[in-house]
Amino acid sequence: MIAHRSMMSLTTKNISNANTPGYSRQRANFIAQNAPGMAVKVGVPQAIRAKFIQSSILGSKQSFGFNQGQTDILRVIEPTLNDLDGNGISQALSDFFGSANEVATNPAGLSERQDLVHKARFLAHTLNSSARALTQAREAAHLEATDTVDEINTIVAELAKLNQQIVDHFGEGTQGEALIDQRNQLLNQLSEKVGISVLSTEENSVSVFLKGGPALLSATIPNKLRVTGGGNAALGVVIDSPSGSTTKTTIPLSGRLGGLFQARDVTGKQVLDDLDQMAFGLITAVNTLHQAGFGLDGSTGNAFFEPLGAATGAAQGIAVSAVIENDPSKVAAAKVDTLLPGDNSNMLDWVALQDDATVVAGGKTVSEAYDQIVSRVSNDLRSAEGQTYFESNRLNNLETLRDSVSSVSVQEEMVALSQFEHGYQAAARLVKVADDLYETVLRMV
Amino acid sequence: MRITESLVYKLMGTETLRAQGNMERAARPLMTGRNISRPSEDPALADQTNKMEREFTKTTQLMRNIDRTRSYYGLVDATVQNVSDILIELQTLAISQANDMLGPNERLAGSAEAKQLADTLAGFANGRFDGKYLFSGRLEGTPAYDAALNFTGDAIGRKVQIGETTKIDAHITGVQIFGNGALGDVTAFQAANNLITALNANNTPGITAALGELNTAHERVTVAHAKVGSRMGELQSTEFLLEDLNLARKTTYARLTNVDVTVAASEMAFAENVLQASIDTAKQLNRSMFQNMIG
Repeated sequence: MIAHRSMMSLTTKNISNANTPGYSRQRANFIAQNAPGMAVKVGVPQAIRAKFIQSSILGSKQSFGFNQGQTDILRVIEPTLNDLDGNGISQALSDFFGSANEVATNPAGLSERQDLVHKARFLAHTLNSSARALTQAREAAHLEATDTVDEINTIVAELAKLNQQIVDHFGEGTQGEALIDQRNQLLNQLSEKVGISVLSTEENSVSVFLKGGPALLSATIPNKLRVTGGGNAALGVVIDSPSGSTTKTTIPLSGRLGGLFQARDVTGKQVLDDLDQMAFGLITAVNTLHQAGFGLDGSTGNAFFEPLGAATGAAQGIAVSAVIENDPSKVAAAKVDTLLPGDNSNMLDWVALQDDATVVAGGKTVSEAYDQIVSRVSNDLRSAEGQTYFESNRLNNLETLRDSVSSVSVQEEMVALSQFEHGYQAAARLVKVADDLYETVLRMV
Repeated sequence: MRITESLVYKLMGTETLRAQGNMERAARPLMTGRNISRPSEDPALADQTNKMEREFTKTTQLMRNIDRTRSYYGLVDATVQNVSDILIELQTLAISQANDMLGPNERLAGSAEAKQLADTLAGFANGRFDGKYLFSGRLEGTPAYDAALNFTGDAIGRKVQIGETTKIDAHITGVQIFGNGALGDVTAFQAANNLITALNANNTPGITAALGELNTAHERVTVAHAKVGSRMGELQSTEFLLEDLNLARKTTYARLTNVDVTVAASEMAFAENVLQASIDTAKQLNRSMFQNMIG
């Protein structure tokens, strides 16, 4: 009766946990006994798990997390480089050069010059906004990475506690198995956040390492991950141990943290650098022409854009010079001051800059440089989204397989419950028969 | 394969969400009217679209340049025609006055007529367009001719871009029409004055010489007029070419970027059906599992 009642209790536990995420159904076996008064006992309950599926889930989670992390940041970056609605840097560039062409056609016209200054100002503001948005996206990635690391540290601390509890309850069956299920759930969560490898130790404890790197968790001793870098510097991580030592690591990370680093410090940084190069090339080329030319009032030597010393920060710093803003007649359309106001030869050279492949470092026109920037972001995002989708499907399939092996089928448990109930009733009947026999003997005495 | 409750619920959730996502993706082109709204949806198409839009802006600007230049040449054409007509009248007058049968009085009357024509001719020298002097070249803020009818403008003029790599002269200058005194030409004004002088002096050889000068001046105007015509022709043919290019580009652009409503609506309907089927299946599965649990 006790054996059957234990089995009913185990079955009830399984049914109660049918919807518990990560719960692995538990099974125990009847073991026949020859001891007096004990015909059968129940073995230690074991959880039904497929380790190879669990290991595949960990790998898939890492890849999913990596691509999801990239996608999240690139989706924030993409709108700053989206010209499909007719507004954006590409159109601003076209309008700027178009306006220069208007001045070339009517160099004496003040309204054409004012329009050129307006279009230049708009181009500068558009570049400023895009650069600011890119910088903010990189800062957001940094904040997100810091939050992710906090979550990682919390999970690692919980894993350490669970390891201790699992060791304490080693071989005790049900309670230990439930703890292992909880630990597997935490490992899944952890691996989505950062790529890990897991090493099982004796007594069912685990150590967790950064994939290809140092230990995050040594059985019951948790280390702490910390983000380094920021601003213009690339992000990295170090591991602080409870003893006070710090381990640097330069291995490429996977998981969400790796995806955030990739989006921020590879794609995001490259895009910002390229935008800066494009802006700097434009400023330098236009200013070189402008300073050699003559305004309507005969003035010369004026920069059209505020000069910048280096490419870094050029996209955020580009601005029409105050001299030109205050007096558009100083726009230097002429090369020869004795042919004012009608000489437009400087402005024609300015218009030709649009197709000049020496403007941007690397042998690119301004438009080509911008097209490459947009292409990089859109292709990286498309690839990351595609990989996220692929990994999401793979993860679903793996989790379906896992559920098929490990999760509870209520119908199955109901059948088992019925079986054990009948067994319990049969055993109870035996007790009744034995009791009746005993009473009969007593009455005979 | 074991079918468990969590497996079924997960399947319901995943597939319903997937169907919902597919429907949203199918609906977006219909709502925006565009095949793509983000570059990452089709990077190659986005790149093509950006390039095409830049081409449109360029072509539109070139057509504006052509339009403005054509307005200038339209006025120049009319002016040069008038100049040509006046020179013809002066030539006719000179021919009729070269007759030795005419006396001083007739020649004085002829001189008065020639003076009137010469004054009209001089009036065209500093014609204006859009606030600028027509024949001053790049020195368009300065009169082309001073009071003594000496050329004070720019003899070359500027160029204007009308094609990808094509520029056209934006001016006909005074020296091209009336002659360049600084280079030793007898200008049209000088030729008219020489006729007046010869008529006043009753000088038949002088009248004949002035006629020759007027003939040369008229040839010069004819050549200038032909240039104007040729440039207007070039402007027109370039404009036609740009219009054809623009039309071809716009057709391609529309085909690439605008959504085919029929196809999009059909895809949307399919996605909607799949979503509905997914929801109905989920309801059915849910009902049957609930009955199993309580049954």
